[in-house]
Amino acid sequence: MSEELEKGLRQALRPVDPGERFTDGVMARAGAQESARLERPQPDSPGHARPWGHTPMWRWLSGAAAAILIVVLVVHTQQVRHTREGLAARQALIQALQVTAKSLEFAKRAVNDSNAPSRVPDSGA
Amino acid sequence: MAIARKHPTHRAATICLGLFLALALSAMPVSAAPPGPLKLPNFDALSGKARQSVVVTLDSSLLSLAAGFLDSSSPDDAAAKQIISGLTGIYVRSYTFDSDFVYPQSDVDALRRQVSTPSWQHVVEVRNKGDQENVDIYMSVEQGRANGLVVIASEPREFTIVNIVGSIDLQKLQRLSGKFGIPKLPVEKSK
Repeated sequence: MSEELEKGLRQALRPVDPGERFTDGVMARAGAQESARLERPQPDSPGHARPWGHTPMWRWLSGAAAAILIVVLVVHTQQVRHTREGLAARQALIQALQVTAKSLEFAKRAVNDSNAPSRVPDSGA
Repeated sequence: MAIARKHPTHRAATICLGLFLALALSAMPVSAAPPGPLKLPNFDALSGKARQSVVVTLDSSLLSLAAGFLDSSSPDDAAAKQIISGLTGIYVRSYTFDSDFVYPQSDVDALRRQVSTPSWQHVVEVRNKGDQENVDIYMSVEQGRANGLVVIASEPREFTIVNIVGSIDLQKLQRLSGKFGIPKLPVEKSK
């Protein structure tokens, strides 16, 4: 069994003369591939047509658009937050003035109702 | 180069003088500076017990922010804008309870102690024992102009502290009456 395998391997791997035309064929194919590579337009050459999305201009535009979008989103978010905080502050202010007004009215009423002598702030201070 | 070495006694005297100056500076009256906001006690526990609570803390930056959102065409907003011009802070704590005297009297006393300094004038003090309504109004006045106001109003079921910091126009403040949903108190004409 092993002798047959060895014999088969020897037969398959025996040195074979490629013939005189082998070298010429290889050289001819190599030359053809080289000339085809040289004839193909280079990426930076004017004749090279890239896909539209891969042009430097497109990359620049898409980067700029993304940057503008991010800036717009950040500004918009800040404006929304500023408006929300401003409206909350306004509401708090109105509430504070309501309580203040109520307290002053309460004080006025208490002064008016009280029999004890009390002092009232001079409004012209 | 000669280095002058101080005698230990001289050094001790210098330290004593420095301490004396520091103490003297700290003891100087600070009435020239307008009073800052009061140190309001932490009423977080009261908020849970209160039926209604109003907690407002507006410093100068929040006041200016709020002023930018006031509508000048609205009479109430215009009045508010006039009132807060010159103010540097409004601090309000107001609590309404379902039962009597839930709030700690010690906190009210602590507040009264804060305004029992020479820079504050106790301009209104009402103690109504019948209704148990107490009102105190303190003002800080500098060069004839109020620059601080504290209102402490307490009833059995209501407790309110208002602290306004900054230049206060009392005439404008009086105009609050009748605005913001507060009914105007009728003025009794002398007969």
